[in-house]
Amino acid sequence: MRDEDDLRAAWRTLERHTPDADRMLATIRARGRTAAPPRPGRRWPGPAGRAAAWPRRMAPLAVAAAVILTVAAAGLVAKMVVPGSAGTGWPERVSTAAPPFPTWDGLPGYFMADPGPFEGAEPSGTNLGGTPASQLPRAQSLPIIATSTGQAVATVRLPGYVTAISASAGAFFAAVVSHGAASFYEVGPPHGSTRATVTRLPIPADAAPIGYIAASPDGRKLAISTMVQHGNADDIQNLVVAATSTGAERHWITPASDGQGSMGPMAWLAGGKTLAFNWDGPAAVSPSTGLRLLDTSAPGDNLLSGAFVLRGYNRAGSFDDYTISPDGKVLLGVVSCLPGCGPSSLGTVQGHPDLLGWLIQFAAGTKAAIVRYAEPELAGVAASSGNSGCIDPMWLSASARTVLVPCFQHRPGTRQHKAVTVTHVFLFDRGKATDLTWLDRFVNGEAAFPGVAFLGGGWVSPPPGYPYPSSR
Amino acid sequence: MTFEEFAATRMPGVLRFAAVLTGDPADAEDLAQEVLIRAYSRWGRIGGLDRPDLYVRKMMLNEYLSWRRRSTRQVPAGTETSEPASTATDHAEQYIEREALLAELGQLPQRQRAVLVLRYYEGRDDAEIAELLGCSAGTVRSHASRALAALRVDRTHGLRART
Repeated sequence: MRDEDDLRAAWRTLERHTPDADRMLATIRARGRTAAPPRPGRRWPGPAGRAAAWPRRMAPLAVAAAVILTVAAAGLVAKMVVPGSAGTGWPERVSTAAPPFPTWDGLPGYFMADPGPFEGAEPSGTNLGGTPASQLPRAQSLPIIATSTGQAVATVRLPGYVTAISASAGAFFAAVVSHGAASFYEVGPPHGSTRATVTRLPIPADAAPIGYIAASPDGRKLAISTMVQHGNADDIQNLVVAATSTGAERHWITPASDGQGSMGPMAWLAGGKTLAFNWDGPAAVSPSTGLRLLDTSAPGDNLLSGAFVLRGYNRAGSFDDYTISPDGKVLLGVVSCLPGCGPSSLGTVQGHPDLLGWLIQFAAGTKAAIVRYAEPELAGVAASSGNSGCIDPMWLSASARTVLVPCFQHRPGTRQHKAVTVTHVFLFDRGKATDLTWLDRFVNGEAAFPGVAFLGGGWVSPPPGYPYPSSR
Repeated sequence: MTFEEFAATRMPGVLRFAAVLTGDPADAEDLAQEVLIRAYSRWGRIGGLDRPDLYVRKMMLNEYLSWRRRSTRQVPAGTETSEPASTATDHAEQYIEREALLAELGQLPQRQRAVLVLRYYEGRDDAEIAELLGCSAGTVRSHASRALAALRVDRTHGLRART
């Protein structure tokens, strides 16, 4: 059992992260006179069926306009393909699902990389580290990477800064902020050339903070998590699922009892009807917390009406990063901290305690678990929890038999040597591990692979009786 | 108080507060910069308050609580210093326990974490914390109680009377 002095001591150790005062003062003086951007109003979607009054009323007009534009510009749209750039005009999307990407060695042939630094940024710019609105980029270029080489095969220029990306089986999607509101774009694959298409989707622009987006496998739907104001209460979590061809939206909202909870990243299961997401409940031990499924074809507007895959708690003893396979049958989790989280409950590596970062796989139904991979320490490094491990998978096949996972080994710094971190991206397939060294540079930041999104950001506890390995 | 006086006497404490509140160097820098730039541009009004540093802390808390948890894929930095293999076991265990506690603190809901920082790092009483967070003292106690239970902190040891 810990006591309050342990807590005080723990806080004091965090003083090592204190920003440098002189550098801070210089920044403040350089930027401080720039006015902060005004915070735009947020829209309250209201009950299902009456959601987003303005966009709803405008929806028939928008659809009609889109149809007219389609007919008028049918030939033109296909030609608005600019090498390395989207140009200045983005046609609204009226096409249906794109054909799947080609594959390479079983993996999707392409992914989109977003090194940031604007992921999760609010359209109002309030959480961008003090960057004045005038200094935010008016356009951002993102590369489409060939999985087989790690080289960019195309670069798309988007008209604002990118706060979230996702991929369907055959296209990429991005939430792009410009003038204080997020718009949504589809990026077509560079079939046989360096050309990629960029199309603005007819989904209404949203001034609410965008959390994450997730494209359905067929690209027909885009799930968008946002925070909205609800009366005088704090912002609450809102989910929008929009048709990418028409912009028609459906909303789900958080029950008042879970108003302080929030969603992590989302992933669609195969079929494009069920959305998996982690719910991080409002209290230390919240019954609503866990990995949940939402049937988006069922009636109702309660975001938390779906079934649990795993129940969890906001406490130690958990998987921090985890992913659900598209068939919904397999979960992959990275061990964050064991129950108790103390030395006695840790496993061992080279005789030293270490279990953090192990990749554990278990069946969603039976909870039968196996250790899929445990990264060793760098040779000559005294093992210490956190010096080696894996992080959330970048991609996994429908049944999770093939998995692409970034792992790392860390050599702590000494007086003589700087700290060194070695990263690997492993492809695990039927017991064989292949190190795809050319993908190492993509382990930090976002990499949108088709068909999967990691669901980390929550702490789902393992099921009762989960067989923790005591050693490798 | 002029901004220069604030910078010379109070800013170090405010920066430490940002570091402890966020638990992450990059987030601490973001938080401090975001808030201090805003405070600087409005210093004419803030500097005239009785406790400008308290007001800046309140700005920081509001900003921090408005952040959503970040989930960008990121390789952990690992431990910062090398622990010699010959380190005494009890020291190693203390170190691991401290890191474990920090990890658990990082997983608390932001409001609970803020309450614990204000109570156990800044040493403020519940009435002060309530004022800073804009809630009742009862809500503060509720947040603290839930957080301490989640962290398995024994409140009978070293407990101080609070109002």
